[in-house]
Amino acid sequence: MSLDQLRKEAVGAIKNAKDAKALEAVRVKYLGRKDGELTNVLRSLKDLSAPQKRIIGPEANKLREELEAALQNKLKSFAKKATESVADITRPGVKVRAGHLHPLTKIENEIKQIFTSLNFSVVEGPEVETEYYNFDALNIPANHPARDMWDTFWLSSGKLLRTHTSPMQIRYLENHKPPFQIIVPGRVFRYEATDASHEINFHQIEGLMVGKDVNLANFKYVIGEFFRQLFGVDTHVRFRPSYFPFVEPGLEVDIRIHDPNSPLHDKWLEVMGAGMVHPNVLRGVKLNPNEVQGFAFGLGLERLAMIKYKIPDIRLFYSGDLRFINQF
Amino acid sequence: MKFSHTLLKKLAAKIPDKAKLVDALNLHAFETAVAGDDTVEISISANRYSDAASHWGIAKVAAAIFGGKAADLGKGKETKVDRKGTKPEVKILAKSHCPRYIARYFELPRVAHSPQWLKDALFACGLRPINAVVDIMNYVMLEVGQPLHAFDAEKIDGGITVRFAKKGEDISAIDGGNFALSANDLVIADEKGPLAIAGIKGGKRAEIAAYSRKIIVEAANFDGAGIYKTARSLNLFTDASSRFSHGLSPILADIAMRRAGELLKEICKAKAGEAADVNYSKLPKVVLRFDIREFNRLTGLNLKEKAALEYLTRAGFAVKGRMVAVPPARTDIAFHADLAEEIINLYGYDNLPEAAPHVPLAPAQKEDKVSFREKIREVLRGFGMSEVYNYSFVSRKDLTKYADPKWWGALPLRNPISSDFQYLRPNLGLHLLRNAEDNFRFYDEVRIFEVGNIFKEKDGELSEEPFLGIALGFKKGNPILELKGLVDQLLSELGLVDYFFRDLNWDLKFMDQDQSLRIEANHEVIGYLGMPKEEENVALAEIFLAKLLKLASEEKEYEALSKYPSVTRDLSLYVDQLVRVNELMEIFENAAPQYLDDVDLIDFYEDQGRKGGKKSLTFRFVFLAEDHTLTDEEVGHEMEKIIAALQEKLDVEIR
Repeated sequence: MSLDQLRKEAVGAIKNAKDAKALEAVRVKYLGRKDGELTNVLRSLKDLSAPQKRIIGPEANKLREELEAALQNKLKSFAKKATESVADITRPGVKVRAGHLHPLTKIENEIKQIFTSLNFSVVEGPEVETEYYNFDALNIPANHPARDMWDTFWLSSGKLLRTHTSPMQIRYLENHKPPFQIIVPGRVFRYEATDASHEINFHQIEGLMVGKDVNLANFKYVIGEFFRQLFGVDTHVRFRPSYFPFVEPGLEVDIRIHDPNSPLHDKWLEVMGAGMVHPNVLRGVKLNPNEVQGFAFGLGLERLAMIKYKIPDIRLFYSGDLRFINQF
Repeated sequence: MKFSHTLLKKLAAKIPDKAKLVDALNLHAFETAVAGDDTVEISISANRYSDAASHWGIAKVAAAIFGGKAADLGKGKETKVDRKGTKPEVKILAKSHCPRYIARYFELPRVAHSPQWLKDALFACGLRPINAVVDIMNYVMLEVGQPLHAFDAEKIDGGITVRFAKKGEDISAIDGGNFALSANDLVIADEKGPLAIAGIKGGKRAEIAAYSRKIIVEAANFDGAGIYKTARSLNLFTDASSRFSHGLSPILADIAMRRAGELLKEICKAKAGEAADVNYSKLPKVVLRFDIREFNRLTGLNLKEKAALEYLTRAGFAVKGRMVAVPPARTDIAFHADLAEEIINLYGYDNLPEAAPHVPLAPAQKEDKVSFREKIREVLRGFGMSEVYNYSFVSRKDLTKYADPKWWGALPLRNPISSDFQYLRPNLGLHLLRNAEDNFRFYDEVRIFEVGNIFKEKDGELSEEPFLGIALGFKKGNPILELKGLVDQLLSELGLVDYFFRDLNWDLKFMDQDQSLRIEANHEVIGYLGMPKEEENVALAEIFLAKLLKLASEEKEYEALSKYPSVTRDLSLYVDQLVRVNELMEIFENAAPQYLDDVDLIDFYEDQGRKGGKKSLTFRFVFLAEDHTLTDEEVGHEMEKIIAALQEKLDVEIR
């Protein structure tokens, strides 16, 4: 057999070896110390004439190196496969520790995002308030049942826990010249019995836009845009007459969401109080109602989160239960 | 407030079936729902009790919506007097608190029972029929909105006086209950004393009974704020007190008295006596000038003047040119904006277009504290922390577990909802500790944080401060060092440059002194972290965000990468148990400032068996020069300096 033939055969055999054992057999067949075919060729060199030796010798040695390298590579490929088969890719991946934002933070962030995209700035106010900012300046008459719409926690100092984020309307108007538009997220408090939809503390976002001729149709645009971004383009918004002493006209905003998986699908849901800033409120901060006007609104964060995430009970928000929070 | 659909329809014929009525009232007037066979529940807004808290009022509202006319009870006939010389004697001592008092005398052949239609109306509105006289009083109130009261005239001694109660006076009310009165409480009295708490409840003494034959009917007007205060102080809230508290127009008294006269004659066959109408002066007529431009500017509509005024006419306003006269019962109308509301309510919000505002563009900004908190939340979430929200309230028990509420500076509520929520929270940690314990029921490791305001009182000054609280709880093992690492990384992420963890040295009664550190920056304490007392599994950190916000301002800046390789050397040593890593670190830094780039503790164990309780520490030193490759010799020299400094200051054994 010529060396060329031998090479062809041996390389083919290495290539076709199915496993390490078969490969070893190939090695023994060609390079085996006792009776390997190439070993025999090399062994027989000494019997050849000097010129033949010079030609065949280097060739045979080169072939030996070549085969040894091929055997080595093939063996490595088996080893690689062997380790791979140990790692079962279908096992679960290694867990990465993930933190979770509270659902109220999530929805607040989303709302802030929408309103800043509508050019509203975000400001905040104090949770402990005076009667003046919480009631008087908002045209809510003292010793009148209208004030009972806001059941209040009182501190011994005579201060109170704000019952809504509306005091920030006054605080902001006192220090800023219209035109402007702001939202005010924050925690508010109500002295009332808790149940699945009432809490003693909860969150609101107040909105206020004041300018030379900011009108109700503008409000309808802004708030429609807001709800369509928050709940989807299929969301319908309607207004109903209502009464809040610090707006005139006053109205309530209902939405109807399109979500066949939600128990609230296609129902009118009351989500917001709003209206045009009352002339008495403007006069109170030394603005002339004939020169500036605007709209104000207040929404309940928990209420929107409950609608959006299908949460049935407001008390879950304050449970500190990670089984709840880690779902978000 | 409950309304009878039948009675409404009687007063305005065009009112449709209940479902349609409910829909229309919702969209054009008041929140309304079906509440029974003949009952609809209408939420009368607090400013509309004078004109709309009655079937007559709602009939007028409905007529404005549906067209047609509501019955005009105001134009009822003057009651024909059958008994001359019977005018009740009425004296008003508190004139400003009683702007009108009408009293009329009636004689009855008997106190009859009410006819079924009247009983039905009462039932639909949630009232219980009693006898015809009392029922008529209630019925007229439902119909007109004016509370009435009937006294047994034979039980009244002398004339009727409207005055404030005298000190020590009290009254037994009609349906039980005895009320001690104060000088702020208005009463209807005779010579003997109070007959009724004005505008709130009648007294037992002159109550109508089955044998009553001579009665005096009262239709009066009282100052709303006064009635409101008395109802609150006596904790006695009645239909009448609610109506008066909201403020009623005095014209209702007269209308109601005529209706009562009509019905008493019709149902009880009563003979009417003369009436006294005291202290009444007609309120000035309110006339507003309507301005269509202002209306369109406010609403964004484009109505024609004529169309707008037409809505006002429908709503019962008397329109002459642009002058709009307000109906006397509409005590809520004072401004042009009030007229605008009347028009848009009838016009319908569904017909209001959406229009994008035209305003000068100004950048939308977030207050620094708002974005700062957003950033903190994101960083912590990235560290695998979950965010909780807790109540702003704590119980006394929560506080006294560690210290007196005074020490905490905790603010008590004047009217807590329960003892669990008696104080405003003076920190976030109390709740976070409980959250961690609660969650141990389901998790072996709890990593939580909260961002929120805490409240304290110091020297009479109230402070409300934004806090960040972090709690790390491991069911097995001590989480303090992980928490420290986390806070460290957080502060650096937030851009705080120089900050230090030092011994707490601060009498925080809820924290273990030896296991806690204060966090300092710019010579100020910006928070603390450590193990709460009697706590082995939960570590706590609180950071004062207002202070942190002021200090955390670093902008990231590129620092050139070193061109030369760093050299690492490990050093293992035994030291006394009491020697703290912080001390060693200080020695290292002082000893080899030239090329020492970083030191890290890479191994630590306490060898209990070894004599004297030593601990074994392994530090890894990293050396680096900015301008050349360090030689072995240079590094060796640095290490010698370090070891020398160690041996000079401490009893160490180099391994």
